Amino acid sequence: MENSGVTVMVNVEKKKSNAAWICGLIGFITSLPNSFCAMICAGVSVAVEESAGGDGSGSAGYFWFIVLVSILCFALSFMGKSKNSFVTGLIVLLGGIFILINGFIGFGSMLWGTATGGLYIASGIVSILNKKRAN
Amino acid sequence: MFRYLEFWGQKIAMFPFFTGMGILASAFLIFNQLKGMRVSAERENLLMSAIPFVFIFGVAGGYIADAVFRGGVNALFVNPFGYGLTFFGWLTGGMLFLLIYSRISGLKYAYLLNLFLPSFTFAQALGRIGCFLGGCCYGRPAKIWGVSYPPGSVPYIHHGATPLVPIQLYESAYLFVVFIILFGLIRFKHRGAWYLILMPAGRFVLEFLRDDERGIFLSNFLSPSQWISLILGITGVWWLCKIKSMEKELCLKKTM
Repeated sequence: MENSGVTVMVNVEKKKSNAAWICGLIGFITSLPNSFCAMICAGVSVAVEESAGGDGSGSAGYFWFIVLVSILCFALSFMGKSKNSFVTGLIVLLGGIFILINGFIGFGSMLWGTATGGLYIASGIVSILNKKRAN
Repeated sequence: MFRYLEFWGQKIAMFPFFTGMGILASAFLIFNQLKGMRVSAERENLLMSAIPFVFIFGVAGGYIADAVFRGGVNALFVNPFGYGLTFFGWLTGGMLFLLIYSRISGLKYAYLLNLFLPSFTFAQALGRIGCFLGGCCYGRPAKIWGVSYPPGSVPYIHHGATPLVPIQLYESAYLFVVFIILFGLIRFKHRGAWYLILMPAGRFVLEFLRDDERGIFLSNFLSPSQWISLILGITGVWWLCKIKSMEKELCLKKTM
């Protein structure tokens, strides 16, 4: 009976997928060109805001927020096999949706935003599923 | 050279592309090593969780180092924008994080260095290819054979169409050789120390052929990277001697 308990634990750990961190890592890499594109968009938006009498800090701030979200998703995707994988997976999933939406509304590149957002969403889902497998 | 890759109306800058490939390769190398060592699932989670933070701390360290070398310490507070990344700053930031992480997680610092440092070699080699294609970290005017950079690139602004030594490619080739040595010939326990000896040794020599602006550290006699290479090289030798003496002691105890 003791042996079967140990065997069950080993099988659960083997069932947890590595796809969470792999998707998160590739998502972060695809976010590098997206950040480049978003930086250009932020530059244009800043110029438009400044010409309209604003100080341009709103667009620049939004760009940095997207970068921070991407970094957060990158970091948390590597915890996809940990005990807190449900919480981290949920945050990565929401971050991925946020980045995907921003890709579509034009803050950044649509192609890279879709790739990055999609990969983070996949990473989040795998992290959540890893928790379910453990239970 | 080819600063951007264009396809489907999209532009990918070559430097971040190759840097990204380097990060990907490093992460897989670390994961592969853990699989080979058959560590427990809990330890694997602990170590894999450190990977993104090593890179984040590395980027912060690389940026701070470039700002300090080229603008002085005041540059960080007065005008901290517009700088790039230096690899040694990146390495220092990463090693600093690993030191903090070793205290938090209870893992040995030497173990973390042996696991992470050699993996950086491959990433650095790919990054140097990105530097070559992006036109940064360029070499001096070549006497025998060199590479001309296209109009609009930084080397062209400083040297025109004069062929320059492709120092980035030489360093990349050297780093690939170091990678093969570290993973093919050297035991896990010695890899961190040998990395700190081999990588800076090559960098020290190749720095004499560089011609881009690298800033000042301690004095003008050597470049900042050369000073840091000396410090890291001495640290690596000290660490290797320490490991060897500990192994000798253990061997003596076993025979007694």
